[in-house]
Amino acid sequence: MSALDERARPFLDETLPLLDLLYRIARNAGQDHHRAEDIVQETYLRAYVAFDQRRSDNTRAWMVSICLNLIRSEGRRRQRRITEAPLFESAEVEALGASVSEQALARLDQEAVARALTHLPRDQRTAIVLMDLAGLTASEAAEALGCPRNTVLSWVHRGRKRLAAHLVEQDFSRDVP
Amino acid sequence: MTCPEDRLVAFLAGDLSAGEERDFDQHLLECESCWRAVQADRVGRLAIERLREPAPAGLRDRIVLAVSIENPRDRSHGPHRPPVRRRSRLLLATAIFVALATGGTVAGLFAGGATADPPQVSAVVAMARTGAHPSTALLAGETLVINHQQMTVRAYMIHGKEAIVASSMTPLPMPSTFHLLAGSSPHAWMATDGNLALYGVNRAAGRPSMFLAAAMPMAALPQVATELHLI
Repeated sequence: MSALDERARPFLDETLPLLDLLYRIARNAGQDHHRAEDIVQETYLRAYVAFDQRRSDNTRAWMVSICLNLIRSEGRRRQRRITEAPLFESAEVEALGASVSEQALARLDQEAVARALTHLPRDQRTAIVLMDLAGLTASEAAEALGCPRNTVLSWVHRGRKRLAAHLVEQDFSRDVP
Repeated sequence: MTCPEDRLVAFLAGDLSAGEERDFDQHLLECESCWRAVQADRVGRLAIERLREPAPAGLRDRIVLAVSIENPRDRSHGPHRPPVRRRSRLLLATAIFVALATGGTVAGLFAGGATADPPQVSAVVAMARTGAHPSTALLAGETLVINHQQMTVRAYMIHGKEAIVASSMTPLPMPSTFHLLAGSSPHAWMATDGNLALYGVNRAAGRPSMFLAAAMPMAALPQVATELHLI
């Protein structure tokens, strides 16, 4: 086992701190927790094999892109599309944005947020998961997604707005008798 | 009136220069639409923070185990290795690990399966089913305690096929469908399980007993056992 440890140890030292981050990405890409764990495990195995040949200097962004690829191919295999129906027209988003209160925010439960997140268009959802959940910088998210940084920032902003509008809408419908 | 989004996005990202930021602050005081957008952005960001959960306990150990039994050369030289088979070996490793970590035994995992075979046999059959590229740990030989019996499980590549060999210093149990080879000494037996053939030799306790499972014709196995110096 010692020859193996020589290779595995530096890899694990560098990548294990990314475990929570990768798990959050897999978990919030519409995966249940079993599948999320499998995806994270497979991410590590693929990264381990390619570790010495990786071209990116940023291990974080590189691991995230492996994880995202696995999530995408998983989605294709299951031939199941996560609902991407737009929830609100932009005018409604504007109107609701103003009425968000701290109280409404405090009432939100985790499940409602998770549900609202799955209703976002995929690009917005992924960008939000990478930046707001996994804590990647906009540049890292851009590298992982292979798109310009400004695009990521715009997706995140639109996604947050839409999410806020959706949550406020839910909150209102609960209050109405 | 709707303002262009890029300046707002740049403001939120902290990309504006000090002067531009002052201008935008002023703009926010006058522009209801941008103000709402900034507020909604904040609410969305704060809401998402509720989803920040840590990875489940145990996932870390599972990954360390998976990485430690993975031989990188297996993959880099064999990109066409069927993912399903690799996965199942991994799942097997995971299952064994989880069962042992939670105080169970490997026996518990394999008992009560589709066949009434002893767990020692089921475990080896399961490993033989999982793929043509043995892990490093299996190539080196893994010592397992299955059903209170200590046995060493090892993978061999022979004639381009994988053979899983179990050996022990106590006689190993036989599958339910075993066929004793008449008049053989020591006691040899054979069995089939799907496309796998099994062949075993049992000796008295204190002397090595073994059996192997491989996707080969049954008749080839005694020869394989000899070639591998198993008997």
